[in-house]
Amino acid sequence: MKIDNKISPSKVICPCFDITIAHLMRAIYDNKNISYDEFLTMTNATNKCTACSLDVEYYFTKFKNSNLILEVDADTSFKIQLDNKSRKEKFYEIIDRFTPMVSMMQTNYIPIIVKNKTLDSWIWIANNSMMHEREVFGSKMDVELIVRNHLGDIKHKKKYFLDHEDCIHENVSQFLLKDVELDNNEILAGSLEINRLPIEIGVRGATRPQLEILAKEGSGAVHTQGKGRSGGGGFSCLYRPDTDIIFIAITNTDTNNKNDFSIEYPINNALNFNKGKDIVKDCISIPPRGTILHEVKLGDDYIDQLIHMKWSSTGSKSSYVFCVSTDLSQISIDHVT
Amino acid sequence: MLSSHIYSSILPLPQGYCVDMLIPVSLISSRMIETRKCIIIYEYTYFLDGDEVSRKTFELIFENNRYIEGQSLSYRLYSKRSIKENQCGYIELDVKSKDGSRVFKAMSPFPQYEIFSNIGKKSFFSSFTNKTSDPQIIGQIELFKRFVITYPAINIDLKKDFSTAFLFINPYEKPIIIVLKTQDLKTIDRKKILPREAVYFPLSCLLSKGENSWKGQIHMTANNRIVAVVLNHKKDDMDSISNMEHLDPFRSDSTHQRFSQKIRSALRNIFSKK
Repeated sequence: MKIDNKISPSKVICPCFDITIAHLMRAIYDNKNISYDEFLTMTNATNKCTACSLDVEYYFTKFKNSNLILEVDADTSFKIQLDNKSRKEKFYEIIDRFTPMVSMMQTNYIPIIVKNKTLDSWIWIANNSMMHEREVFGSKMDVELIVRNHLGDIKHKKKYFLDHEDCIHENVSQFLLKDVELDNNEILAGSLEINRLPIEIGVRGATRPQLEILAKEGSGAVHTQGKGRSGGGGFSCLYRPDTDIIFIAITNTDTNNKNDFSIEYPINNALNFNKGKDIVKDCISIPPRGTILHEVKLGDDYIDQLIHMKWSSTGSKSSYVFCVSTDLSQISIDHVT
Repeated sequence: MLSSHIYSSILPLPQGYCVDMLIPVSLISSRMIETRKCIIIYEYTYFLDGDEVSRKTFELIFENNRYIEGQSLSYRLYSKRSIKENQCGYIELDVKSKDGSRVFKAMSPFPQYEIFSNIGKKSFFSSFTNKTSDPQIIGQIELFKRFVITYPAINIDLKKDFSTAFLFINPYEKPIIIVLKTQDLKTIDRKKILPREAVYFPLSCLLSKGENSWKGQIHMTANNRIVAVVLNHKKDDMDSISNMEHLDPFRSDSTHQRFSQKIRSALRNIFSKK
């Protein structure tokens, strides 16, 4: 049993209402189902000057997620004991003390698209100090960007050093146009691999990469993600072919093996609408590191209906959804499983 | 730790849009322990201009972890126009067991996209975000003792007809004072967001006289945590939104780990593939 001596039960966490750690512990101990809002209503905590809000929330979550054992103690009324680690975890903790720290490489994948003078994909990776005050930074890191076309062939590879207060801002879709004759109506897809290797022990700070797709009247942006596992996933949207074009973009993140991607829609579990009619079932083989762009197309019967899709893949992948206005003037991008 | 509820979560509802919200019964059941029969309350509350406007409650019946019955599994809500300038509404989602029994194995909000649309406008997607207890924010407060959220890709280009705005939501009981700072050290000081209000903050204010474009990063701090999203919209029309995206906390996650942790992690990956 571990007694957490760092947290004094008599510590006041909400001075306006004189609420201590012990009060908070008692409330959680007495009512294991209590929500944070209920605790605030019951005690009035954080409800005057609000300066303590974040601390109260921090302690509430910490104790709510622990196995609490309260013991009567002559001095402080309560002794706080936290014992939420298994024997295995404790064993690992001891082992970990004797091994050196090593840097964690982060690899992200994201599909990119380009269309002549209409759509462009830009990557942003910034390492600004907290509130730009030059005191707390994310770690300096080596960054590698690799752009591949839809077949998985490398079109661009470059290494960068991301220093404090630095920003990498690069049009990555331009490399897809190298040696390609692009039809005016054609949207070209590929992928971007981002490898980040921190070179000093620290925190990630604000270094999460963001992909921005620029269209004429509205851009879309999303943070990049690590690769997703093989298996199932899905997405739901409204089918509005007069207004939206929906693309499912899948990148095969495996270096050596092709990835068989199967998609099926509509899977209407909420509607008994047109059951079994015009169902799209598609299976696409994606080459290693390749990317596909699947446009969601259905019959007119489905217009304005809620459409559920499901898919599966035989290998690891990165999956995103693009929603583009029919005139390609606005775009949004979201990551999906 | 089992719980009777999922953490409350928040979704903005910008003006000029309706939102189709989907009830993810398979995700709900995957979070539940096996129970013979359990009724789950799934409740949307719509707030506008500081007040509750409407509430819709679904009672979902699960038996042996399978969804048995309930009402329709999606709900469409139309935005109402705010009487205040530069404001819109937001939705708070509460999920709990009806009898208070502790049936949930995890409490984080369900990773689920809701669909925003309206006639003649492109759809976009967004998900509910934690009202409280976001592990990233908790970690940030633990390490830095400060709430800071960031956005790395602000892009205002009036020649290209697009601009950007923040949308701040205060779902709490007390006013929140926020401070924004750009990487070129422009500061927007002490903006006040009143309780239960969702306030647009157009970033065109960053443009100096004669400037048509601004690109860069913005960090934001506040005396309390606050829900914030960034909206990419047409230059002169805040109601024509291209994309809505959450801001990211200044991350406290470590960039390094112990060598033994790395080995364990690699082994876990190998075995999970088999």
